[in-house]
This record gives sequence, structure tokens and C-alpha cells, in this order.
Amino acid sequence: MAPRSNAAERVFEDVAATDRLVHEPARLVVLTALAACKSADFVFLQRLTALQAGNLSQHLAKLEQAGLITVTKGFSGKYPQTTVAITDEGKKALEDHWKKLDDLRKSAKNMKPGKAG
Amino acid sequence: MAPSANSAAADRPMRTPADAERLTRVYPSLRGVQFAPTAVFFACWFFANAVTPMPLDSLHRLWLLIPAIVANVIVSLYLNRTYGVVRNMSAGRGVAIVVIVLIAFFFLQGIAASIIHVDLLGVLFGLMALVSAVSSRRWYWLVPAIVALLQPVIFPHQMQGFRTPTPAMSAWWGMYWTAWALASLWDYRLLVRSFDDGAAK
Repeated sequence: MAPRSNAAERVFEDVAATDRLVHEPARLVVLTALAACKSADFVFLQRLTALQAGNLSQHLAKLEQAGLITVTKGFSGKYPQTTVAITDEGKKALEDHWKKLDDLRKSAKNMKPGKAG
Repeated sequence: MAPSANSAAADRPMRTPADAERLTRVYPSLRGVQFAPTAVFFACWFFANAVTPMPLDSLHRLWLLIPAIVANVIVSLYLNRTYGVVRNMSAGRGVAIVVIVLIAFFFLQGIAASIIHVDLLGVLFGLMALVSAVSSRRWYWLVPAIVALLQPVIFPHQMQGFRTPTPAMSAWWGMYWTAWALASLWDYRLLVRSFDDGAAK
């Protein structure tokens, strides 16, 4: 097995430590969009992500369980309306995630490849 | 017919976070088409007034505005169900901003009326269109902005107030509302393209 440099190991550890809850593409899109507004409804998020309703519901449920978003169900006239908003915890998780990705990119750029064999 | 649960899902690649953020920010302003019926009404009203000036006692004909407002609501509901709802600020904050703008306007209008005898209504509407143009780089909103901002220059010393506007001034307002309606329709075109192409242009 090829030995790895300490820097490379650190990069891989950082990748492994990435918050998968936030990093998943659909959830990252949802959180980023919600961070740009006060609230958005289910239809808009579905349009934005192009996900099926069931898939989007599952992603929202995971984010809600983690306390990153709040989901409010109500009615607009006779039509059901689900409104979603990001929490302070969600904003912080998103900021931390972007920072971590940025640091990861920087450390990967600076990494020198280890000698194989 | 009400859209099905998955009608909003499309067969296209996932939007990038940056694109999603941009579209979320710009979406509320792309919904301007919901006010197009009122803009069309005012365009027709002012052009008709330019051809056959109506005396002040004909203002009761403004009840004709009601169908336009109903059309606004219908278009708004259509947009809600098709593209969804995004709120960028709380209702209280929105109302507070409108109230502050109105108070500032009437205060400045009062000063302008007594000192320079210039109607600032054109400036107000011009600034509204200018904000639309600059805030999200929708430069076609500069057309109604320029038309409205030129109003006090083209028609100096004409306080519209509660008197009948001159035919030329009515035609100018008709042009403004026509430009507003066309810009709203262009907004709608961008809105549809943003969601269909998967990229906010």
C-alpha cells in the first residue's frame, strides 16, 4: 500500500468530517436558498431543486429533525401551503460548511503528493 | 386545474447553490406581472383621458379599476401555485417601509408644491422603476423610470394635484404605464425561462 503524507491524511480526514447532512446536493441547495430569504414555500423549493415531492419531503424532514429548518403547515385559501424557513442553527451550519469546504480546497491546493512505493 | 404534487419537478440537472441563491433573491421582483392588469388599466385610462379629457367629477369611473385588481389577485394566485411563494421580509417590515415612503413623499410633495411648484409623483414612480432596474439588473425597467423621472422636466410647474391633467400630461402618464406593463411582461418571460432552463438569467 502506498504511504500517504501527513498532509494528505489530514485532507482525507477533513473530507470525512464534512457534514453530510448539509453537504448532500439537494439539501445544500435548499439551505442556501432559504438563507437568501425569510421563508419559502414547498412549491418554490420543488421548482428550485426539481425534485419529486416525496424526495423533497424526505430531505426537509431530515433538515427539520436536525433543527436546521422549521416547517410550518397551513392553508392558503383551500390549498395546503407548507412554508419552510432556515433557523439560526441552520445558518450557522451552512456558514461552517462553506468555510470547511473553502479550507479543504486551500489545503488540497497546498498539499504535496506523497512518494509512492 | 390544480397542479399535481409533482408537476413542479422537472427532468433537468440539479441547480447549483449559487444559482439557487440568486433565483431566490430575484424571484419576488420577477413576479411584477401580477400588477400588469392595473398597469394596463391605467395606461388605457390615461390615453383615453389624453384624447377626451374627463372632468374631475368623472373620477367615480375609477370603479372600473376593480376588475383590474381582481385580475391582479388571480395572476398572483396563479404564480403562487405554479412557482411558489418566497418572502424576503416580514409583513410588518414591508408595511413599515411603505408607510415611511408615503410619509416622506407627502412631506416632500408639500414642500415642492409650495416652493418650486413641481409635482413629485413622477419622481416617486420613476424611483420605484429605477429600484427595480438597479436591484436585480433588469435594465429594461429603466424605460419606465426615465419616462417618469422626465415628467417634472417635460411638464414643469404643473401640479397635478386634484385638478384635471392636461392631455399631454395624460399621454405622458399613459406612456409610463404602458412601459411599466411591458416591463412586467418581460419579467414574466424571465421568470418562466429561469425555471425552465434551470438558470436565473
